[in-house]
Amino acid sequence: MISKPKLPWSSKNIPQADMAGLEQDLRQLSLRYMRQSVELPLDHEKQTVMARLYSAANTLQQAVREGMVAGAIFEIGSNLIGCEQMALLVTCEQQDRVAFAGSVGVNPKQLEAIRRDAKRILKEAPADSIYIKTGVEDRFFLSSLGITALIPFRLDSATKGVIILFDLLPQRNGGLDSGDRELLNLLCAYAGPCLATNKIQHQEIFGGVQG
Amino acid sequence: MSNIHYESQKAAQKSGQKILLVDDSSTTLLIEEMTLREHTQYELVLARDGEEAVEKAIAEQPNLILMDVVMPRMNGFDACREMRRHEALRKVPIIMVTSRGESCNVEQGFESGCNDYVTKPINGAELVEIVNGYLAAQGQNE
Repeated sequence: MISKPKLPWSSKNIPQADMAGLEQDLRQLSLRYMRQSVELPLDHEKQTVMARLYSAANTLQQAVREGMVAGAIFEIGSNLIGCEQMALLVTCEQQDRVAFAGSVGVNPKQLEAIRRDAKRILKEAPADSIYIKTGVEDRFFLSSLGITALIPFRLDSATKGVIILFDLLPQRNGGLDSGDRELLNLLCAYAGPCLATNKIQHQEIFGGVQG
Repeated sequence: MSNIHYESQKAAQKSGQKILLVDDSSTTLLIEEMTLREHTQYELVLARDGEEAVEKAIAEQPNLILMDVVMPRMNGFDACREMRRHEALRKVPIIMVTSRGESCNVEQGFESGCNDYVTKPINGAELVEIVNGYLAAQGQNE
């Protein structure tokens, strides 16, 4: 069970002690994954999952220190999940607005979908869990936008944004599996606190969330 | 592939063989390093871009090179070509690590002199198998 660090959501003036606490939490988490990988009798698939979790926790820890969390999230998506079309939406300090906080590899059609539907995408994000397209119980709205996965991130009890995964790389044509789900759950738990330690550039701001 | 299989492979590996891991992404380097440290006994050397890879390949004389394609300063294809210019590196297996497995990228890799490729995200079993395969063959040829 991943504990969610408690940090104030703000893009500035994060107390150093909290940032240090988050770094320590991620360091302990990555060590735990490494120990589990070494000590438990796992099959090769589970060991690959542990190695990916270890790498992701380590990358986030380093990104917190360097102030490069958004880039680290995209790197995790690209190198550990196999998705090179991602976007990041965050709620503004005025909770009724949504900001486009970065993307990688999105095509004009996907960018247009984000511009048009940012507020609704955030509204459709599950409160406590990730959305993964399965082809069976898909939410029509999200699948119609070509969204493969939606990872809400929170701080305390409020949703502070979403990571959007569009198309996966061709070698991931089988879709996301249970190992990917564990990795996305890690992002779901830690992206919010980690992003809170960084100054996030709002590239574009959209209207009220409820609108 | 079970743990027992991994362990038997590990025991059979020739000691003293060295692998150069090249990637500008720490996420990929970490997963490669963790996987190979756990399941093999090869010595690992790391480089963060193509230029550093060429320098380290010349200095360290690795038995195998695992190299990313898209990197700053010098990309993987150019680094591969550069390495092949050196007599001591001409026969060292170079495996490209690419996120794009399409034929044009693969062809470009082979034209630059690489021997094989694996796609991201790294699959631990696939990585260990391909690395062991090349290094075992190299050991038999010596």
